[in-house]
Amino acid sequence: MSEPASFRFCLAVVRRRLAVVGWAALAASLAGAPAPSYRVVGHYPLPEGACSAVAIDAAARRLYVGQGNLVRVLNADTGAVVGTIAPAPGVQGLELAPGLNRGFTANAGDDTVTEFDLKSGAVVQTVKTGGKSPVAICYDAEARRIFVANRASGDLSVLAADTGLVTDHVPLGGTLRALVSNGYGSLFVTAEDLSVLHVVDTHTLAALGDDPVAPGVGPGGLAIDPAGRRLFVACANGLMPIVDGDAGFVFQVLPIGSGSSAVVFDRSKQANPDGGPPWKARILAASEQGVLAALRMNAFINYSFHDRSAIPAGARGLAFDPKTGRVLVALPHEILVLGL
Amino acid sequence: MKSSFSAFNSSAMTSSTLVRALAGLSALAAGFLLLSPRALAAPDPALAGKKVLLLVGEPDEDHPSDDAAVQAHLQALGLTVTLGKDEDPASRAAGQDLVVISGTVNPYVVPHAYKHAAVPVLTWSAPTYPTLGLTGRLRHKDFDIIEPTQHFAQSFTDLYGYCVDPLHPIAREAGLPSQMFGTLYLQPSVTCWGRPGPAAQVIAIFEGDPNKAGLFTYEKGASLSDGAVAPARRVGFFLGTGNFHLLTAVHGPAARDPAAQAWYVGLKLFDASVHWALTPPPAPPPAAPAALHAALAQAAAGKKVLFVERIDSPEGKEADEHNVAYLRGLGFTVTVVDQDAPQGAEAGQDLVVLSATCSKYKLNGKYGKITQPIMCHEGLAADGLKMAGWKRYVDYGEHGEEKESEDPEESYLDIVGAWHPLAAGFKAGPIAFIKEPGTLKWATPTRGAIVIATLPYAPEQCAIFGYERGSVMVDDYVAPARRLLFPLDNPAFDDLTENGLVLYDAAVLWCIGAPGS
Repeated sequence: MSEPASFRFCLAVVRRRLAVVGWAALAASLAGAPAPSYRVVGHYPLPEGACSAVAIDAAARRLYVGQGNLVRVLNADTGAVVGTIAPAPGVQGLELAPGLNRGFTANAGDDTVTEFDLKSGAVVQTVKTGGKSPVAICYDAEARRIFVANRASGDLSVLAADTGLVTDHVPLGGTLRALVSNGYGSLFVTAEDLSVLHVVDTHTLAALGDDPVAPGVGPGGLAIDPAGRRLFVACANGLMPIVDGDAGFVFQVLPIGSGSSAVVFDRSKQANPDGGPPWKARILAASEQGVLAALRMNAFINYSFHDRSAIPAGARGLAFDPKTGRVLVALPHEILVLGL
Repeated sequence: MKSSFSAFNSSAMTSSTLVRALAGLSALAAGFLLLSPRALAAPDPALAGKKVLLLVGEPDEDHPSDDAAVQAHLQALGLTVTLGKDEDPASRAAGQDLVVISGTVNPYVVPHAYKHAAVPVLTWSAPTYPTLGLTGRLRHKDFDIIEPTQHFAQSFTDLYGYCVDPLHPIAREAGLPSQMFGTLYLQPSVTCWGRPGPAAQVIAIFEGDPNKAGLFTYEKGASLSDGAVAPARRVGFFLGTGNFHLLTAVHGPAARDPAAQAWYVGLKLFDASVHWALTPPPAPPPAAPAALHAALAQAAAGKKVLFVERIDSPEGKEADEHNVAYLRGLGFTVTVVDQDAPQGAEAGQDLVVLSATCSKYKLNGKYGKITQPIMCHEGLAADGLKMAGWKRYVDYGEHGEEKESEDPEESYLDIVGAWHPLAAGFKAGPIAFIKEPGTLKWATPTRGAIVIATLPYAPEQCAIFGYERGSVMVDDYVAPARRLLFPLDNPAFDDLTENGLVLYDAAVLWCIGAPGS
């Protein structure tokens, strides 16, 4: 979809100014730096191969890490490798469905989805998505469907949860990057080059429209607060627009650090790193440039930037362990364990 | 030094602080682009090349500014925006197509001369409303600023507006019907309201209070709150200093829902306000009584009038007869019925005239809901017709009535809606309406009415006003056809001055005209 020249010019102006101001604002917000939300409490080193995705089955205490052409299964408490799931060529996305005793990977390497048994680690089947370069995957328990975002072909592949087979394709357009479901009928998909969230009906599979994320540019990571109906969009230009999922309205924008690629929402009662009552919730965003930003939920309509922590560069995924309160960051050759 | 309007970021700006201010503005501009969640608008071909002077105040770290967002938005619409500071002389308006005065200005330094600028002005600086003549000068009564820190609950209340004039071009463009709507996104922030003069057209109010206008306009030629004539269009908008980015809008699936479209209209109202301000106003009605009379005679041909009177009224019988004769002389077919006649005779008529000889009591609520236009001469009947509220001598009454009124007999009206055809080309100001001082009726209509004339020294006591078909009357009743109050005491038709008769011609012509004309 082409943009008017003036629109492109305006966007260019925005981008330039953001580049100049973004870090200044971030630095300013750090001037009175609060206590960091996290400290490094552990490292789970991994064999060769860059991590590309991470997911946790907190109840089973298993950590799944996408790495190259396979998925490593780790003890979530010790980091010990307890198994391997293969093949998963060029795995980019990981999704666990404990209720189904199934896990799924989106394999950009050969445009497939690998379905595996969570208990045994055995591959159940591998299916072609029908799209190009699947990079993200999401299980919607309410619709009993698995949605796969195909980055290069700009469409969704829809799999039936019961069979694991592709049933539909939903053309959306743009370079797709991440997707989340709200669990009650809507799926949100980031399109990096369009700077929008595509919205899809999880039942009819109709593309319902787009929510712009301006002034965010290059939306990558995406998380949702289903209860609050808020979407947190980590954008490449260092901003996190917070979107009212009902109206598609960006009502707040916070600086997080450019190149942010992963984001998680944590609604569990967390201690306040500054002391005082626990936060209502927090949002964490990791950038490939080595920044972990922590945002605080003050109210459903109000969020604030809290702090950022330096982490090794190359973060590609985040997982939150609700049992321990720890955050697991997928880095090129290890899982970084952060705790309060 | 901060002004008492520091909430509006209005510290006095001196030349020594100018450089700092502009530097700060640049930083704010960039800062906004960092933090303001407002998608860039698409260019509007109708606005391309238009020039806007945006007056802003000195940045205030305690009150975030969205001025840069406003600037970016106006530019994205295709406008050429020049930034100015609040103390800039009004001569800067020369050559501009629109002056926008932000809520960040220091109202104490905005030159009063902007009031006379023959350039449209759009502003959300409520303390500047009096400077521009848009409202009176009393804070809390004539205008107010609603700050969350001082008025927390009220700031939530003002997230909801109510449209009282869905026919106004701004409401129409925004797709806002007569209903409650979302003004700003769900964050308490600074809003403002004004209580403009009777000639203003109020589009949206807060708290259901007609005296708290969130969005209002003055047409070019309308009388401002202080009686001066608006030299160009004027718009008062409900924004604060840093909440332009919170003006409601809807995207994605919700944008397909007509109800959501009509609810999240804040940004559309802003854009429509810009459009309206930049649109050339209608040509003022010509002061040509003969031509007006001829036009009325031409329009009267083949049209029917139902004239409702108290037959054989002890006072005003001759005046009614002359009124009827005048209408017949114009070419109308006039049917006369008694006030006590059952409703039904209006069927097939083009106009129903309710004479002042009618007893409000005996009319017993008839005609209020008929689908024919009504010209009512009896101000006391205004409530029964839903043209005004229910309180006698509060919502309607008479000047010069010897038993009830504290006001003297009067012969003049004060023209405030000179821009409208109902004003027949008369200039704003007093006009001799009847030959000798006598009883003059008045009523206070809703903000959905078009007010043409008030009684002297009583701007809220409106003498000539009309409701367009579809406009909102009392109790949210939607006018099924045009409704007009044209005050004539029982014998007053015979006492009309020449000017009064010209106004009468204009009134009848408007009543029988096509809605919207």
